[in-house]
Amino acid sequence: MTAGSALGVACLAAVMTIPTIIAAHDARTQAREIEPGKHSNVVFYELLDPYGSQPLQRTFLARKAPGPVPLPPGIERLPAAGEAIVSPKLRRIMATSAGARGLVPGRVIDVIAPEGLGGPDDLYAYIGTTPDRIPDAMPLGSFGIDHPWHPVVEPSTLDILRFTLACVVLLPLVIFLSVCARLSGESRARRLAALRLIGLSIKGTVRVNAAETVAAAGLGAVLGLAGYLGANEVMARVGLPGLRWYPADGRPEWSTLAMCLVGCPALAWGVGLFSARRAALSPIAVRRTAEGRPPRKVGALLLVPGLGVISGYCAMSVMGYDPSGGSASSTLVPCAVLLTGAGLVFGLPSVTAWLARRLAAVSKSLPLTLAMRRTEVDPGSSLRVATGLVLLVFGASLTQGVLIELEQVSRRTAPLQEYRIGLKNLSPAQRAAVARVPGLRDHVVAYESWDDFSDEIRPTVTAIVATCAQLKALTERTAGCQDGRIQQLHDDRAAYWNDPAPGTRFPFTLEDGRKTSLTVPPDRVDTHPYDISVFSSGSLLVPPSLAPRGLSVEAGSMTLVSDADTETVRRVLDGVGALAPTAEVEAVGIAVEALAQLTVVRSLLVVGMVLGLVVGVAAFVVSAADRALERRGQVAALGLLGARAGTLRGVQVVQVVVPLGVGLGGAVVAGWLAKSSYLITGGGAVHWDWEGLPLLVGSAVAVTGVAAVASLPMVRRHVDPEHIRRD
Amino acid sequence: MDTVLRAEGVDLFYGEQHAVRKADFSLARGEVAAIMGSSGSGKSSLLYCLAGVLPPTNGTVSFEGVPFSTLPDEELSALRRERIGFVFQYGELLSELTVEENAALPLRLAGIDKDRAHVIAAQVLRRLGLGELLRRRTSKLSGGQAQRVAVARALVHRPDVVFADEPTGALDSTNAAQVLDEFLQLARGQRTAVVIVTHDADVAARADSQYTMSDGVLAQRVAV
Repeated sequence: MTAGSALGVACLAAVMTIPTIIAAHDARTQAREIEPGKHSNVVFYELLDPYGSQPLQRTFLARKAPGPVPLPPGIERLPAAGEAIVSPKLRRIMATSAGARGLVPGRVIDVIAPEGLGGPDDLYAYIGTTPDRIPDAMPLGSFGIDHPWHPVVEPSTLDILRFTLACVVLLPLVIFLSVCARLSGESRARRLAALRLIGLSIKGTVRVNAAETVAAAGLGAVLGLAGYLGANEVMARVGLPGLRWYPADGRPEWSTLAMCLVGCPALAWGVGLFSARRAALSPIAVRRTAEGRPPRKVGALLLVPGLGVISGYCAMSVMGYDPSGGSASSTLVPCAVLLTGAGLVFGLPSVTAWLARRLAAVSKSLPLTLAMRRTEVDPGSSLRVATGLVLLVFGASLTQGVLIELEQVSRRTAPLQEYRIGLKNLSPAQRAAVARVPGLRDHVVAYESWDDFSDEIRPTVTAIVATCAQLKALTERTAGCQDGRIQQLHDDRAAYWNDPAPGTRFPFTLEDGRKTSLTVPPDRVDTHPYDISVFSSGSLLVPPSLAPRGLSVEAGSMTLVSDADTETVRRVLDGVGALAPTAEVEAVGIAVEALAQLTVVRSLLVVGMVLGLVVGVAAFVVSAADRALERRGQVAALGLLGARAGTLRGVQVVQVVVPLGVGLGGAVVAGWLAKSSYLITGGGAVHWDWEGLPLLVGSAVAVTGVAAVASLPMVRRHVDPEHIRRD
Repeated sequence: MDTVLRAEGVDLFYGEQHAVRKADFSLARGEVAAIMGSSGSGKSSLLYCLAGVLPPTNGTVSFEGVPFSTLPDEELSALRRERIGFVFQYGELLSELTVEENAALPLRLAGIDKDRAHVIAAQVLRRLGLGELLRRRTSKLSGGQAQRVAVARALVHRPDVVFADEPTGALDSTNAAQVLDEFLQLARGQRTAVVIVTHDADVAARADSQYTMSDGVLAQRVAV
């Protein structure tokens, strides 16, 4: 009980402290957020760019007049023009990367202290400059706002995360603690029954049990908390991908301490009470054992509607129908997922018993027969724990689906990455230099037609100055492009067509303020651009030779194109940042904060899965050990009859592997189908996650293997006749 | 006499406790020997020494002239599997198996095919009056029926020696007498030697030779 309680409490403390870590991070980032003011002697300009999958925030500050200025937490003075104060991690990156050094123009005079950073891995810089370098700057009011602009995890996602962690960690944890408490109670039940038989009152018997249980669980809770505190000190220094924290952030709050120190012994007491009351009320019955009831088959029936709906959606997708959208799907899929999960849990004993009966009947192998007969008559004992692992794998599969959906909205899946920069932010020399940044495939310039931004809705068009070769190279498919003439792009896959009609004239502003116009030609180029792209349906493709001279840079943008792999994207952004540090670069389709959140969410979910697996396997091994102890008399008898050690080991392993394998196999299949139905109805491009499947299958096989190997020491080679003697 | 089992100068210590003291014992093929003694006298410890389960601290136990101590564990297991049988006080049947499957276990352990093992087990069980219960789980049997299954399991592979530790100790006197009758009849019929450990003088009286054990000292009772 003590060891189980310690492991359980350490996991519980870890899970409960995750929101605390996130809250501490958000509180510090909130305190440094800038509130614009009206009359200030300092102006600021913020840029948020992706650095890999992590956001890099640069705050340019320029003093317009002398006088007092507000200070953000973590720095002692604002940097003067030509100076910079950066986070420790950014400083380390700058020391090794020339590209990153270009992102921070100026001399680094200091680093930001921890109170001014979300965490040790924050990429943040305060850069001093002059007002003329940041024309779009705003007056600085104060630092610190009410609600965080850049939370580690969005509140809605945090709720999902909490729920998922509760499912993948706390459920197995409760099962594990219950198993430990039950086994601890069972081991005392015979002694308590004996005490009752010699005259101890019912109340006295229950009190003896309560004192023993609470003492053991309480000691375990203290040890578990100590273990967690040690692990926090280590993990805070090592960190998780996307999330590092200061050791103080990870120290449990009073509520967590109370939950661990009170909740765990209370749970142990509650579960132990059951066996103690049984021992107290009917001491004779406790000293005999009865055969368990066969499992009920009703639970498995829940699988029929659950899997039916899920398989139906999968089948529709395979047949080419798109069942996404609609209110029916948003209700049916979650219901079907819940029914499938419940069916797996409640149907597992009967399915396992049925399979064990069939295998025992047909098998010629003695170990298999013995193991299956045992599983047939008592499928529930090990499955109570297998259930936790089955739910974990099922939940992991669904979590993979959620991550895929999140990633689809955070990062484009196209093989090419576009970056958009306003032409007004680049000097002609910078434009020429940016076009040669290493890693780029190509670049084009586009201009928006004139719009007076009045209340009247005026149609506009984008004129893209590019050749047919460029169009072909930068789109998925292009047909019918002819050089030397203006053509209209048309994408037949566009959600809705708003292509301007041929003959429509669009005005474009020139540098001198006059207007020139382009007419939509009847010629169309059928093209399939990557989603989202400058080459959108309805735009005009203008060959460079036919582009009007002197178009206004105010309405122009430069689109750079590179490969979409993370390294290339980082290289390009570094290159552009070094050439034009104050120019805002829009990495098209990359929601940098969503990506950072995704990394954090993924890390936390992985931690949850690992904790869940540890707890689940521990619970399974404890349960299997209990069964082995319970049956050691019969195993000793088999040994005396001359059973080979291999036979006994085979029986033990098969007893572990079959129920676990059936459960995890079912969970992998049902989970994958459930995930697919979720992706199919989610409307994203990815319907079938083949990449996640090997991970789940591998995890299931590993869990089964670990459980099987861990059960082997329970089969001892030495035959001890004492095990078959009774008290 | 054809001696199948012999013990010479057997000592057994559990830590400081001297459980068996300089015991000498021999058993001929087909002979039934009873070892009597009170609880804690060391008779079960001696039984497991004679069966090769507990290695004696001093002395030798030989099976057909081969000392157990010279046999590696695998050969010892094979010997127990093929030449020796056991009957325990509480049967120690596998409750999840049927009567037939329990009785067939030694044959299956010896590598005999499932179908053939079940045929042989059924024959033995019928001789013990359990023909109607072949497919019944042993958890549903009465104490007497369960002990008959244990006897069948001990004799089904026609061992040379059966060791019985209080074989009727958990039964009422009527059932005990019946089970013992059937057990000894079957054993003698197939010339299997039997070593019975008991504290019941009536049980011991059915044996060909009787020993008493007191404070670890084994002594043969001479019939008057």
